[in-house]
Amino acid sequence: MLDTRLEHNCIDLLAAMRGSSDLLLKRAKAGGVDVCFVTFGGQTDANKLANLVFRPLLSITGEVTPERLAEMIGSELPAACEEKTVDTVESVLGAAMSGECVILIDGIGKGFAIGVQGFETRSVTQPETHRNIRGSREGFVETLTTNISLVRRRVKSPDLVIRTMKLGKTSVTDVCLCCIDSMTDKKLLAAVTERLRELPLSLILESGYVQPFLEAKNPLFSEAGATERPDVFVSKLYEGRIGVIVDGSPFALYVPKLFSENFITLDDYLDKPLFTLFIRLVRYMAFLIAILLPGFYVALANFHPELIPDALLRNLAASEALTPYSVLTECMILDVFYEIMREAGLRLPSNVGHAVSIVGGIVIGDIVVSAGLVGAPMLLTVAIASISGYIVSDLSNQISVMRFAFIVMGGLFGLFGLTVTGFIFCVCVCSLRSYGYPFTMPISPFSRKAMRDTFARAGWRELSRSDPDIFRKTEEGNNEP
Amino acid sequence: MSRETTVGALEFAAALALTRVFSEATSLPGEYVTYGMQRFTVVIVSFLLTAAVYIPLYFLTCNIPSGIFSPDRRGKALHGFTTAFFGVFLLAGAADTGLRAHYYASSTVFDSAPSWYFYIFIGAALTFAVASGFGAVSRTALLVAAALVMLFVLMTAALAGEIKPDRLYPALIDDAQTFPQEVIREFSLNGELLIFAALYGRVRGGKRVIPLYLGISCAMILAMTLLYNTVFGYLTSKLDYPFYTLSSVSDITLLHRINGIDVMIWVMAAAVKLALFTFAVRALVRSHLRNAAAVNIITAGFALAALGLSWAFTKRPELFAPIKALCETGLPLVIAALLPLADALPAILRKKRSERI
Repeated sequence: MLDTRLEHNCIDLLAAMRGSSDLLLKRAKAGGVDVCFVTFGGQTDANKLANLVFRPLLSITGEVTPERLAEMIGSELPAACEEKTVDTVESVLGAAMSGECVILIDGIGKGFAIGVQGFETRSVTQPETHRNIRGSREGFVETLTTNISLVRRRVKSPDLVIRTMKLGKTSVTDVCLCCIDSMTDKKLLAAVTERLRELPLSLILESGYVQPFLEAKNPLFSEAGATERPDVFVSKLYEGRIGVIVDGSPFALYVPKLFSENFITLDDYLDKPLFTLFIRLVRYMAFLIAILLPGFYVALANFHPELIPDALLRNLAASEALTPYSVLTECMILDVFYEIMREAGLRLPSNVGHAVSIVGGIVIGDIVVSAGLVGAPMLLTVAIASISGYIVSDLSNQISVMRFAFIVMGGLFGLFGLTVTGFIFCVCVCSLRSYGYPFTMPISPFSRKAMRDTFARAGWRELSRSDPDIFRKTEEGNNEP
Repeated sequence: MSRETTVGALEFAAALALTRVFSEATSLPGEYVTYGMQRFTVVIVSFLLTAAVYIPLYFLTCNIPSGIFSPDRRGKALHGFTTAFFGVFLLAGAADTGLRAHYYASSTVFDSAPSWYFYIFIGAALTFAVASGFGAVSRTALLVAAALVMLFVLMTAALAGEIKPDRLYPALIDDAQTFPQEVIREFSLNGELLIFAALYGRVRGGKRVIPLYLGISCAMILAMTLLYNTVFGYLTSKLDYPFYTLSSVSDITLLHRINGIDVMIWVMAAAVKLALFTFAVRALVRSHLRNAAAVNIITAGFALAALGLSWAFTKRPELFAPIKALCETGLPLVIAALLPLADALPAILRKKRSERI
């Protein structure tokens, strides 16, 4: 607890911060009473601080008692919109670190935190991921308050509940839990809140730190979704999910997430339902091509050439006859080479990244074929699979792993290897449950109502007839979040 | 070993239907199957028989929705006998499934697959599936069933030009001598009855499973029969695996034939069926033993024994012949439908009496 002696409080604050140089303690007299302004360097807006705190306080004429001064700060001074009282050294420092100015008064055992935040932030821009053709261009930024305002602007209703908690022993990061109260399963909300409260991390720098604690221990698939788009985030909340926004991260999380959501984009709701059906089927097909095509090609070439049409088989055989490696080796070399290029393109600055893509894709790709190291059909197969993988961007990491597994098993054991691998992946996906909801919902278990927006999307007239409350109805006997 | 969950009626019915159609599509050498128009009558009559045999089980789903193999009947003599009977025939069914899958796969497109790695991989897939839980297996089965339906549609589209409806002729029974034998053989393929009886307590809306399962599997088998009768006509009776032969002549331009995909689906169906047998045995054992470790060991032993037996039977088919002959009488299925009823009847009557009081 804070002491009534200002001097004592200042010493406690300095001791708690171990003499950190960014802690600023400015002593002054207001109405004849000793006061101290506690701020952190670079966290406050100098103009706000001068106009909303220093000027009103320092312009008090005559002598006032400490109690009267505290009363004036609480009620009469036009300090700021945000004002709260703090009464411990930790809470004084917490408020000051969040960009507030804490006023300590000699003779009063509490402080007044005034919201004068003014640290540098990135402005709201178009998200780098999940781009769309129509719809909003706004994306989440790193500042929690800005992100909350982006959400609140889209749901101007008291039904949108936002709760903030501080997590991480060292980082003391603000983490915000959002839900639409009337749409949310209360058990789900309690389960997510509990998991967040029990978070064992001491440092949270990004929402990705929190994500693993919101999902089950599955090595391949994630049951917590991440989005940079406030409109997508709000639509997920409206479906009864729980959202989590972490200060410092432009990616907001939501749970539960279903497998079929990886194939849905915002633009699907802005196009005609018929086109949406077509494009979603294309995405599912692209996913299958991305994981299966190279493995299937290797399996057919190695074990079952009789399945390939004769004319194509002759071309493939002629091309493969010119290369020194086996089909499996070729495919693995190309796949690994593609992953290297992808990784290089991602980490490098965009200009250099483009150069890497051109050198890798065109120059090296052309040369390896003309030098006879790999066959052109194999290069084409891996290229088609790689491009197809980009269509379902949320699953790109999983696609890489699955594709490699299928290549190896298809190359070593033919279609039988692909069958067993496919079965194991299928069981792996089907075994996932996100807070009691099967990951493969609404396809398996089948839900006719939710199928309105899975492969095909029903028109808005049909969708508007009832709420998309698939997460509100608990699955009998299974819903144990 | 596995996560205990309940599954929906549609998923479970789809899983059972998939495994039933698997038995239909993958016949073993020496099995008496004739095709032609009689086949339709055989399928319909056998499914009517099956529906009749399911009546006692339907009665049980209404009166004991928590399942007949539940721990509260532990220690009863008849329950012990029922469990032993189910255990023996579940093992025979599982061995038959492994044998069927291996024989079918190795005599078709996977002819390059040696037995040892067939059984090792199927064993690995089975272990993973059982460890992932009953819900995961049922949901996987629904996906595999959906893939089978898509394959069927693709085949029909690819063979559209070959379909000749004039190959159908008005006849119910072609050969009165073979007809009863075929009906009984067709009826005996419904080993799913054992799985259903053991597991229906873990299905939400268990009552809906029987009509769904019978409807889906009968419709699917009839559709398959219609397709190969209209494509091959009289030639059908000379084919070992008509559905496989259909996929072998389905040219979809991208692929010269799609029989590889056909075999992939049946191998997955075999893995699903083996996993369901294993879950059924687990339910049986749990109704007698409290110790979870012992239940897991016995269940694992069952899976190992099933795979081992089917491997042994591939080497020595004559060992399996008497068991197969017994199963093909259909008698075990009738007993399997009546035994649980007899086992549970006192409890049901007691319950009714106490309700009346």
